[in-house]
Amino acid sequence: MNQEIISRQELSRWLESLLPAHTIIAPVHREDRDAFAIIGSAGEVAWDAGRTANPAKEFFFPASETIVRWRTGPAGLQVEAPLATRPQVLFGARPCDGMALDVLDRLLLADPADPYYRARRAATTVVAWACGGEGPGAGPFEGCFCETVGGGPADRRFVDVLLTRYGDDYAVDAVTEKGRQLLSGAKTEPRELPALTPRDTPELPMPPPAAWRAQFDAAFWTELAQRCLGCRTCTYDCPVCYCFDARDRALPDGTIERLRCWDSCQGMQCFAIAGGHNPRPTQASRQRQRYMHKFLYYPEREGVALCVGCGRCVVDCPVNIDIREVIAAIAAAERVPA
Amino acid sequence: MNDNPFLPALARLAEIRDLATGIKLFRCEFIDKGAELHYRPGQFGFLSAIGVGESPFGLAVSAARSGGLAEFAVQRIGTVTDALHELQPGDLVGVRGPMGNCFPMDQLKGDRRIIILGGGIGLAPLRPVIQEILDHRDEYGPLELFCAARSPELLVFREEFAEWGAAPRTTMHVTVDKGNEGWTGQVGLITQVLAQVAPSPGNAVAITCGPPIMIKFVLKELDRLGFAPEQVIMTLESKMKCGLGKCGRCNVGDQYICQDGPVFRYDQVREFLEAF
Repeated sequence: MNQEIISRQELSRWLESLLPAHTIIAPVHREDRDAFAIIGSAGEVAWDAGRTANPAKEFFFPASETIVRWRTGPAGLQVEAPLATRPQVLFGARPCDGMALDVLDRLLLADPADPYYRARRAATTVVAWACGGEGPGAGPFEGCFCETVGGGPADRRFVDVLLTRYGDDYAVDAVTEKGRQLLSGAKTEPRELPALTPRDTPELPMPPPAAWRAQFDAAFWTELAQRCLGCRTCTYDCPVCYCFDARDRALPDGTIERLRCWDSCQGMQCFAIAGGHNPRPTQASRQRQRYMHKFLYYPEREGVALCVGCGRCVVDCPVNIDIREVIAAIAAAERVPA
Repeated sequence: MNDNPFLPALARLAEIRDLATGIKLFRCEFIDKGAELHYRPGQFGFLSAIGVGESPFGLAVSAARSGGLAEFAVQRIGTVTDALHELQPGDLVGVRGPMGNCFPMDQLKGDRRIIILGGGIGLAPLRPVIQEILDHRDEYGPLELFCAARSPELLVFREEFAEWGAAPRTTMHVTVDKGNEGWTGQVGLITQVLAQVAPSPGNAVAITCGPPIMIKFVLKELDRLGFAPEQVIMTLESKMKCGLGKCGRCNVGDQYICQDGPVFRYDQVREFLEAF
């Protein structure tokens, strides 16, 4: 297969040339894990990184951000909404990280669009690494199951550039016009390369929405909740969990800010309203909400699962609750006649 | 006007009225006249105590009677409502809205009997419906109002009951769970009064709002009286942080209270009603 190839050295040089005008987010090595982080030089890129511990969500939808600011000026109280506009490049994302953006776009860009997410999304170019190339960190990774939710290790649909690793070189697939423009300053050369054999992954079929609906009152959720600590790790580590809270704070200079922060359906207070009523008072009802949101409500509203199969929640859950087991359990229940 | 749906419009508190113990009515006059809300009965808005936070409240007056002001009934019950209750006339607040769907006023028109059951501050989002019906009395059928509260001090819009009860083809039932020394009216739960009056379900529609526990038992009683789920309309509340279908908390099944509601027919949400 004849393909455009770019060397790692040239990729580094290219990234360095983008740095003055772009915020670049890339996988870096931390003490005990790989993580997406804003880099200050191309030398920080961890080229053999595996799946990052954190999803790229925070660079589009920060854990905490100011959405409204009130200042008292000569003309009285002024209200403003700060929007991020600096161009950014998400480099070294995986196809599932790109798919996560598509999943979030469906909700957050739908009319009326979330202006904060929209600004960051529009300012971002996604340069992804395919899973399944040749070399360390190629993937697949522990717990991941992108095919179950309609993705794939070399899925190019939701990224601007897809790079496939061949040792120290990368095959370049400039998917979008945005990607082609960003790549215009990079030197590539054509070369004959073997097609990669698709990886072999265990099959995990996704039960249809009706199968999830049928289990709404199942005892299964209570059993799951008996293990769940309500620690919320699964939701914060999820590339597509988007629920948020909002509250105001006053700064010493009199400025008032409204912050929105990630929230989690696994927290006891997430659904509680003033006065004490809580429509989901038990961990079982909140576990059910998590999975029903992902595999029933979101698909019915937005056409896709609220899950990209990245497996982060699988490896991070302290009590080994495995979203794949939940999917399998619903599938198994479907096969048993009621 | 702005195109950022998270940005509240600034409004001045033109009037603050005591409605009941711990419940005030806030009438908000927009600084920018272009920010006035155009809404239908049942829709809601967010009211900000700037510096503390914002919460959703039903718009408590019909647009026709609003004079261009947004009107919210607020019970002092948490952080934001505490802060709102500290405000004085003339103070600034933030308002976002209108949001959500509305009561199907057109479907209520004709000769259908309309039964409205409001408990506590749950009467507030029903008030625009009542006003709309009274202002176009000929277009609607008989109206039967059930207004309830835990105690006489918690009955909202009491001074308007005389107007409501005096309207043609309109019956009022006012009850409190527990009376006090000055109370000469009915004592009993709204469900008990409903059972006594026993309105026939024929050609009728019931509309209810109140605390979740009240709605739960009103639904049961209506069912016992023979009302089909399709004949029962309710307006629901939930924790909400955006009103735009984005914050992920107000779903009942796959429907968002903020966008697909807050007004639902019972049959639309029965399957997923975790709230009760």
